[in-house]
Amino acid sequence: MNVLNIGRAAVGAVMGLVGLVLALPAVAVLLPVWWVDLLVRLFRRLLEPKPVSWEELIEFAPVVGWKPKANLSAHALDFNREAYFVTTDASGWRGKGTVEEADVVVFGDSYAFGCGVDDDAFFADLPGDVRIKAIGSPAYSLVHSLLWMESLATDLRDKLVVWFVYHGNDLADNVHPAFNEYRSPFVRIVDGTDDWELVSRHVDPSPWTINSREGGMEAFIEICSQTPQSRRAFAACDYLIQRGRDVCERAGARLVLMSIPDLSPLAGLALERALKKSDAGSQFDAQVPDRELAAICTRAAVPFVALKDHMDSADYLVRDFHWSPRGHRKVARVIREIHADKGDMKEASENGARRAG
Amino acid sequence: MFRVPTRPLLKSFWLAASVTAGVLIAAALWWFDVHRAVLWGAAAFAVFSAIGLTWPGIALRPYETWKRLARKARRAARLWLTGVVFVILTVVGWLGGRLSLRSPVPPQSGWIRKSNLPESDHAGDAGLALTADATAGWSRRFGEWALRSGNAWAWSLIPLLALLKGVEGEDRGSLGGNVYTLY
Repeated sequence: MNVLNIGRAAVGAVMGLVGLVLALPAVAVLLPVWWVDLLVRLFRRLLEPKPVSWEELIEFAPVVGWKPKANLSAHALDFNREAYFVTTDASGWRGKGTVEEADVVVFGDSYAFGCGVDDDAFFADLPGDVRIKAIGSPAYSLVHSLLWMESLATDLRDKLVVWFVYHGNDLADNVHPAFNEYRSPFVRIVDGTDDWELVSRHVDPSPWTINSREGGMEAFIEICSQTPQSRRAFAACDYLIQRGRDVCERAGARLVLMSIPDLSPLAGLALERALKKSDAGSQFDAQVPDRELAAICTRAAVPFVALKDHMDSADYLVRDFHWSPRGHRKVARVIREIHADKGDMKEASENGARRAG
Repeated sequence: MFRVPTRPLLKSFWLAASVTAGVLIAAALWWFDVHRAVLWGAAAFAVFSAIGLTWPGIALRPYETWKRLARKARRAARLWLTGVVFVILTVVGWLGGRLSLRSPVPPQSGWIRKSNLPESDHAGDAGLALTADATAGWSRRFGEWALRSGNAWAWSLIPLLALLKGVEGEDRGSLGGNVYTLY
């Protein structure tokens, strides 16, 4: 070390001490912040359950791609990374009871799975005289629901089948061969014809490496506008709903289609921002999904219920775009009312016809 | 990503506030020689925490206010500490620097004889063991670098840099555009 370095080290040492004295006001300001931060971290460690990741929640299933794991008792994370308590039965479906015991079987995606709420708030497990069983998993599309409907058809006799259609991403995902890296069954037009076919040959546990799925707000805006994507999405729905109707008819079950709008404050904010950026934003019409689905249901003679007529933004979580416990209670009540109609779904059909008209 | 306070976070914040309130009440009572000051403090903690654990929603507004105040306190402290660091750098550079900022007076010249730089002049992080977490052990790495490069004076910055690191808080949330991507 030369003289200059020693000199600088000496000056540095003195200035270091001066700096520490000068830093005292900042330390005084920071002390309460550190104290509260420390206590919050300590209590969070005690209070927060250890959640499982998405990968621990699901497992590979042939043909459909994935399903929730069986006999699960764990805390999953919602969009806000807040844990909610989930249990699944021996088949991997959430909630108590079985398909055989149920009066109503609900098919759907994360809404049918009850994402975001604990078991005691889950619509299928709320106390009531109608037994509801939900067959659903996060990230399912109508294609998954149809495949499960076909697979469980023998257990659906004399039951009410409610098919959830979520506007947010179900309509777009029906025509995509993968959900991110997970291979997914989908529908496509048969080359050179106007016919559609369901494809699941590509579904295996290996990751899908070419992901064409958009899955975001942009895809939703395209579907709610006069775009080729919109026409394709509803043509796919038409095919799927007719096929679902045939499955239920053969099984002796009563099918009702229930559309799920996204009225959550979270989605409202995201939509507002996406509309400003979108090319299709000027043609955006939020009524398109319900109008198109009602028209399809009228043609297929399937009763249609738009949950938009029964719910508002307070029925959705603030921290996530799924239903709040209040929303789950409302959905359970609507399902019970439909079940009470016992085959007379005239009103729902008329509503559908009105919407289609 | 859009975030709102989770229920465990609100409960934890309320409990932290209850502990603080309990400690302050106990200290104040002890100062005024009130009998069983600690018990009163513990009772205050029990009552406050029971309220927050039963209705975690009531903690939302106090939590948001606290977060705002904490953010302002952090920003002010960061600014102050950065200023102190710059004062040290200026003084050390001014009193102990090798760089001459004065223009040469003839017959002096600004030209210097061409030579290789000494090893210590280009000592960097190269050769130091890197851990999985880039921020872990930063003070040791910084200290090693200072010694190897002949800048031992820079050790005096370590306490201040540590304080600056302690100022770092949570980032302000933003709303993701693709909220449907995962469902």
